[in-house]
Amino acid sequence: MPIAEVENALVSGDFADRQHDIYRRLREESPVYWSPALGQWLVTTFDLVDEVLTNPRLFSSMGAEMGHINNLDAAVREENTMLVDHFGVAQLNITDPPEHTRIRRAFGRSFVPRAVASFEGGIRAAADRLMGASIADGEVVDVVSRLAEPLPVEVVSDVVGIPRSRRGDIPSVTMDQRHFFGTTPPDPGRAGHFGRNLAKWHELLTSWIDERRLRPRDDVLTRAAQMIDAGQLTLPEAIATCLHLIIAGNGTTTASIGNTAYLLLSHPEQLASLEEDETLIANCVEESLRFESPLPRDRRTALESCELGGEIIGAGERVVCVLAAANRDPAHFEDPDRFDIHRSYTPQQHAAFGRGIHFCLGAPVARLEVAVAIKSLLAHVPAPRLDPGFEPEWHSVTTHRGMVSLPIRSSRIRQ
Amino acid sequence: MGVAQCVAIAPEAFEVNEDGYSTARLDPIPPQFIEKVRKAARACPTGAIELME
Repeated sequence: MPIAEVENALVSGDFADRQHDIYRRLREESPVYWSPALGQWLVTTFDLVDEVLTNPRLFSSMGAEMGHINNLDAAVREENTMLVDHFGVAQLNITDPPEHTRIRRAFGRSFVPRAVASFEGGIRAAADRLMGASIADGEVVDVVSRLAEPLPVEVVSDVVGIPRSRRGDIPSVTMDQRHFFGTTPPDPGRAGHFGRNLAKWHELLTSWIDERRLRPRDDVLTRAAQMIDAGQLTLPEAIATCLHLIIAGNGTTTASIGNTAYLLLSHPEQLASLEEDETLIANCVEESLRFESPLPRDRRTALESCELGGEIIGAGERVVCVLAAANRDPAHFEDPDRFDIHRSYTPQQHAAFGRGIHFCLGAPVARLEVAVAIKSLLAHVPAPRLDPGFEPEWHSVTTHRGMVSLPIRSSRIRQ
Repeated sequence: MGVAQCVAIAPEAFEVNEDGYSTARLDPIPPQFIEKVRKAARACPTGAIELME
């Protein structure tokens, strides 16, 4: 496939089915590639991705969201001031040092190892509740809707402190954000819906933060209230970052639970070794994150003109680090297209959670959550099998990598 | 805070301790690792690494 074909494939409807082939072509032939159709550079080797992501002074995390909002008509923007109010303030994922360092420190305490270890019991209880009674032989279960979608909503709500009565509203704001930023040029109708949704969440989060001042709990909202009162954080920054945690902790983990289950079921010998030795689960999660990275791309903006991998990047140009491609770079992983839960991992060896200062804040929670979800699934579905000839249907967005559904069945009797 | 970016970037100079936190294992830092340690300091989300030169 000549490079023109790769360019067409990047914007074609069946991109998701071919992503690893296309990324491999780019990595081998043009690891720093300017896509005219996307108006972005795509960076596809591990070392170059690492170089961009560990250099935040040159490659900024700011600007992309506001740039998208600024492409709306002025009238639509004025009608939906909440979009500007929300994305215009410093928040964790779309800001640079020193603001980023201050906000990261403020929220980091909620995700230190001891805090995360204390979440395990709650995650296990939620997963077991969702799986319910054991699945009967032959009964079909959709892993995505049964477990992978609802579990992260429960977990992120527990961690942040969202009351049960409002958890049902989380998928709607998650989808709003994904669709608003996933549609170019921005859709005024979606902007309106997203703007109203954001306004509602701002009101709710403000009232919950106020409540925590009177009745502190062990959650992120309490931490936010304390940081605001200590002058470390403004209320708009706290709200924007809380909402970011809710949205970010949700779709990516859903994708990862589904991907891990699918990879195990489509590699029965790997599933068998995991069932034999449960301690392989942590490694299995790492390998799944590497092999089907739930967040395939991480975007930056070059602040100055610079050289990267022999190409000249212009000031202000978008540079997209393809984490999914870095994670299959043969220079960094032996036999990268082989899924193998026995691969030995050193700390943070793959790039699925990003690299450098924006390394996923919730990574330890996500890792624990995927591991607990898979163990619960295997405990509730004896001898799980995919239907013969099952082909995954991947979501057709490039912003995350996950399956639409994953029907599995128990086949104990026919063993 | 347990992010271990420094361990990923400069494993010669940092390690993850029993509690899951990253700590320095070399002090002073041999000259051949200085560049890596500088990069690790740049990559730390909370700016927790300070290089005294």
